[in-house]
Amino acid sequence: MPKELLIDVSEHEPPKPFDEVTKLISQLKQGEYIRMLHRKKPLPLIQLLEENGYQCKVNQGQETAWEIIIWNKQDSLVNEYCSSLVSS
Amino acid sequence: MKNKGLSLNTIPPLFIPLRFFLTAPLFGILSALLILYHGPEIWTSRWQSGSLALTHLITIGFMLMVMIGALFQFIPVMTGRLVPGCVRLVPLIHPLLIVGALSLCSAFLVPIPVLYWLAFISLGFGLLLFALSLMRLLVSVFDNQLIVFLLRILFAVLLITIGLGLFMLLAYGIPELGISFRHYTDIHALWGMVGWVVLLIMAISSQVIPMFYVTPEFSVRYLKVLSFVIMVTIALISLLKLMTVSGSIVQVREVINIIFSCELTFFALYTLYLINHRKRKIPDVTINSFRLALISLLAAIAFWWLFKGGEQRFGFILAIILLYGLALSAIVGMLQKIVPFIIYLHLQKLSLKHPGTISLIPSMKKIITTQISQKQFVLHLLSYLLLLASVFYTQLIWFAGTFMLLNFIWLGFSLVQSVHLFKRKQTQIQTYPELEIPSF
Repeated sequence: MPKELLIDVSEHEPPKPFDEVTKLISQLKQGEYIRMLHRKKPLPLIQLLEENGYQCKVNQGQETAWEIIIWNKQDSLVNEYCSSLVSS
Repeated sequence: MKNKGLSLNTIPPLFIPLRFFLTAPLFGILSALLILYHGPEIWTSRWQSGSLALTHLITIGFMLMVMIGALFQFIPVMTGRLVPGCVRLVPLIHPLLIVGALSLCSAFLVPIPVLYWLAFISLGFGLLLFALSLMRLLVSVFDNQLIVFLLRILFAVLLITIGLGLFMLLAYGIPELGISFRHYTDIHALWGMVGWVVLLIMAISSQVIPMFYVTPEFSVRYLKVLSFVIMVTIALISLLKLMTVSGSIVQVREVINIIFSCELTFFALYTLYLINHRKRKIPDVTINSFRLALISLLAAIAFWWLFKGGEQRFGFILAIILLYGLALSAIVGMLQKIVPFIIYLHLQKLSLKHPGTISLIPSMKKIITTQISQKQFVLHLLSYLLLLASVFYTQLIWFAGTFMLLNFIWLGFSLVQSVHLFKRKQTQIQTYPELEIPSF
């Protein structure tokens, strides 16, 4: 079972969410993925992550407006698990 | 939503919005120099050539310039797609807008017909290209986002304002036509100074305030209804202005004016309420610019009711409150947020391609520092108050013009120094791997 790293940036002003996610990404190990809670759909961040080998899935959240699942495309275990997560 | 295959394109090349943002303070500087050149006579009549030139340097040279740049930046961030054809069209739109604004203002000062024609052609063609680039976005139904809805309304209002302006330019350019353009000036000013300014502030506020100051979100339904109602109300007021004055028309006009004032008051109070209910009250001087803008809107409404139909100088006060107090305050505040943000974004983009360089990216507060923003706010506020006072105490115009000049020079300096910082950091990031290679 992949390990989830939860990060809540819903009350942070830009570009703090960007800073925090890119820091977390640089520490991401095999078998781990990020669940980011956000009040906005951060399209520029998603674009940059996808251009750099990460996959993002955006769902409408329960605690916050949006939940973004981020994982490394090369990590097959996480890839399979995160791809199966339901999108709304 | 899974973004696989969606190929997001949310970050336009840096100099697409920046060229507009960097040009705008130059028009601000020109408008301050114009005030200093004309001195107290700038407030003698609204038909005075200097006053007309000043209004259009501010509205076209500064406000429209920033608005177009901001739209080329905001639309991709909100919709995930670049404005179609922006890379090819912006190098045409930008110079056409500069030539159009300069020739129009020169034509007011030195009424040579060729200048009116130059203004007519360059502004008309530049704005047509801008309209064409946005057309695909405005006619397509995305997920009915608030910004797209507000843009449609804003665009319609801008079209009417500029259409009336171009029509009056024809009257200026070909006096033989005998068009009584003065008849339409009030309506042109109403659509431009009230309609466009308020809707522009609404569009800016709905995006910038919740995003950068972490306030509760604006009610989407409320803003959609309000923006539409404001446009309809202005249309009604314009129609009534064209009608012959009779007792019943005057009463209808008063009722519509009351409704219109309530709409604008509610927007200002609602936005101030959201600002005061920020989730994290981090000290940020730029938020004062938005507060000043909204307080100015309330002041404009009160002032209009107290002094409507009064002396001509009250008209100047109202114009200063709407343009300098409302529009420029919000735009100056916005620029100090979005310019550091887009510079940060481009450096992040570059840094992700050069691992290990993340520590080289400056925080937004280092791109335009709090000290720079504080000085900007003080200069803006002082120049605003001095401009208002100079309408009554005309000798203050020299101080007003000087502080306005300093305000725009400071704005230009803060933007240019942030671009220099970007260039420096860009070079550091691009050369980082070479710096890491040990020398033997």
